[in-house]
Amino acid sequence: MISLAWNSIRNRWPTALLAVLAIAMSVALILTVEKVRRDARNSFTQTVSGTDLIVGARSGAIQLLLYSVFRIGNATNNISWESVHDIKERSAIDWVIPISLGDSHAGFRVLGTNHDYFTHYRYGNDQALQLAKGELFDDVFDAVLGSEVAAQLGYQIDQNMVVAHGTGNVALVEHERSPFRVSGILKPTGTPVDKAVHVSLEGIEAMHLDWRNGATVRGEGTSAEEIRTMELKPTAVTALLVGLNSRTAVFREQRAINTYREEPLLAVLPGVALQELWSLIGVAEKALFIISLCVVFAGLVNLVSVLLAGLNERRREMAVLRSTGARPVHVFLLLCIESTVLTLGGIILGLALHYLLVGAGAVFLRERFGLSIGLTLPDKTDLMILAAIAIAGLVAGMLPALQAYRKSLSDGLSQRL
Amino acid sequence: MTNNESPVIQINDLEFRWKANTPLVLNIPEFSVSGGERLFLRGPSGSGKTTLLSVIAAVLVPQSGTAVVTGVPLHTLKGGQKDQFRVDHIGLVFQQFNLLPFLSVLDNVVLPCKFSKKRRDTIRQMGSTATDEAMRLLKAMELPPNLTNQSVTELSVGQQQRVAVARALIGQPELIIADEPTSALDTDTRQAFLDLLFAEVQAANSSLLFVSHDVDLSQRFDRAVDLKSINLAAQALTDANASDTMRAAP
Ligand SMILES: Nc1ncnc2c1ncn2[C@@H]1O[C@H](COP(=O)(O)OP(=O)(O)OP(=O)(O)O)[C@@H](O)[C@H]1O
Ligand SMILES: [Mg+2]
Repeated sequence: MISLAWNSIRNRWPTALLAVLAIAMSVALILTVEKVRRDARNSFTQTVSGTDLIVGARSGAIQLLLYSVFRIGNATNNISWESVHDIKERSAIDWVIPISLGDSHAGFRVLGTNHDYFTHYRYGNDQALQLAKGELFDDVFDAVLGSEVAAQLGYQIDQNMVVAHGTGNVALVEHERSPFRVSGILKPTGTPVDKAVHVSLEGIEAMHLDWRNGATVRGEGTSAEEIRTMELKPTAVTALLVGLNSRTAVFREQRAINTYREEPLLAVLPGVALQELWSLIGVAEKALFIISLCVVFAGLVNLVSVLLAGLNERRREMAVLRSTGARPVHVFLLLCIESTVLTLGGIILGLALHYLLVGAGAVFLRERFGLSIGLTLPDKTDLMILAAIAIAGLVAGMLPALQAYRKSLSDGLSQRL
Repeated sequence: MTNNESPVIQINDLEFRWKANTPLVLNIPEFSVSGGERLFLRGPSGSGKTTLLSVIAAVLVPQSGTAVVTGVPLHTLKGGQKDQFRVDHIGLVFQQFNLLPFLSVLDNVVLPCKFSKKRRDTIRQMGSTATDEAMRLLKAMELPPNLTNQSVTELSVGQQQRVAVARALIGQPELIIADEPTSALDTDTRQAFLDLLFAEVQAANSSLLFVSHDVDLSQRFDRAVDLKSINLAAQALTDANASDTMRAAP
């Protein structure tokens, strides 16, 4: 029976191949969409953890989240150093990570901070940042690179680098007299940290020493040696990541910061803001899922139409089979086996296609968005989707099979066209 | 093997209609074919020849009456037993499209052996295998040996019909039923086809029920029967037609 079915499929390979391809595409699409959705959400909600509040100048919660965590867009305003000081002094607050953004190096964001960043910043499942090589910044001109930065630019420890003002890919003017040095390289995290150049707050100040008037004047620069002897005090930062002694105080502290009198500030709970941001993306994600469901449906409709279209020409074959002893059940089975083989073929091909897509897509997503997507075995949801498709394919294949079964009973031995 | 004295087909008081409340297509008080007989059955188109063959092959079930074929009372068969009976005892040849396009010539011929242990056993008793026997029959049907592993779609219609005969004959079923097997062939090929068919039917000691419109062929058979003479339903039909024309006349 199986070899009969197989031969029959082989004989109809062009249409069979089309049916398999249609199913494979839909399987690959729905699996990939599912995976991207899941991994993106995981990777997304884990970009920052262990931080209780994110504080910035008053703007939108999502905007604050975007620039402070994802390094997308720019802050409209800064937080003055006095405010930072006031916040740090509050009794409920355990630690504060200052973040100063606004500069770039070869297209990567430069992030000014202090050692608290490396001590308190957490991502994923409460993971701390770790150095792969070298050490944290010590000198004004030391820089700690995210893993992607080092990998893409091919930087080694102790290498000199030039940091530019502005955040464009091509900086207008490079701070030629700010010769930074790579002091350390971080291990990969799969978060935007990988794409940042970390320097001390003093380093940021040093970069801007000659920029107070908005433009540098040639020959008027201060030398690196001179700068080292100066006392650099940060005047403002872009955002703060805040950790509390006790999480129960989070709403009280949030309110206190939001109603701070000296300066309009905004404090958000990262979890809430991430959720809010995700729900924005979620619409697109749901639309994608619905589209891929439609594609699956179309694939199955195609399978049925291929089988049904073949049926008329196959009524003769059915009569021949019946005349040589095949039972109606055999006729039914033959078609069922065929549709099963086609569906399974489609699923297997679809899985292969899916891994190909994910393999290629993972590189792109990591480089563009810092989202990490790994090759994993299909999980329970995936298996359920696959099972659903397989069952749908079987049921769909039964329609023409039933039709053939009924016809093979009623036609007798007459060959009808 | 069929005893030549006992009939291979014995039909009594058989009535068949396709659907309830439609006129009878078959109404046969008595009809028999004796073992080893080669019978030529003719009748106008639509008179129920193919329907009768379907009843004999246990594809269709009559509303009343009995048909005993190769000693098996068909009304005692249930479900799959009918299919088993068919492949065990009857070799069928159609007007055309006899072969499965997705199987090779050889596989087409061997096909009944896949479903019938009886045919396999017969071949084994002859000291042969299904493939060898198929090859022998194809050769006897004068098909070039290089065709056997080819796709059936590359065969001429005459060649296809001969492959179909080889398939009907493999494993020596007691009864060969052929429904207008020659209607797609030209006159010369027809005679040659009949020669080969007769020779192998004889060799297998089978009976032959042969339906055709071609009266020229009928002389070569042991007996020729017009379905009208045995089927009262067909007579009624023609009578009705006749009275219609009579009434239409002024
Ligand atoms: N599958 C079917 N369903 C309903 N009626 C049918 C079916 N097959 C045949 N008939 C009817 O049964 C009658 C006899 O048909 P049958 O095919 O037996 O004739 P036939 O003698 O074989 O004709 P031909 O010489 O053209 O092959 C016809 O009136 C036909 O319309
Ligand atoms: Mg007919």
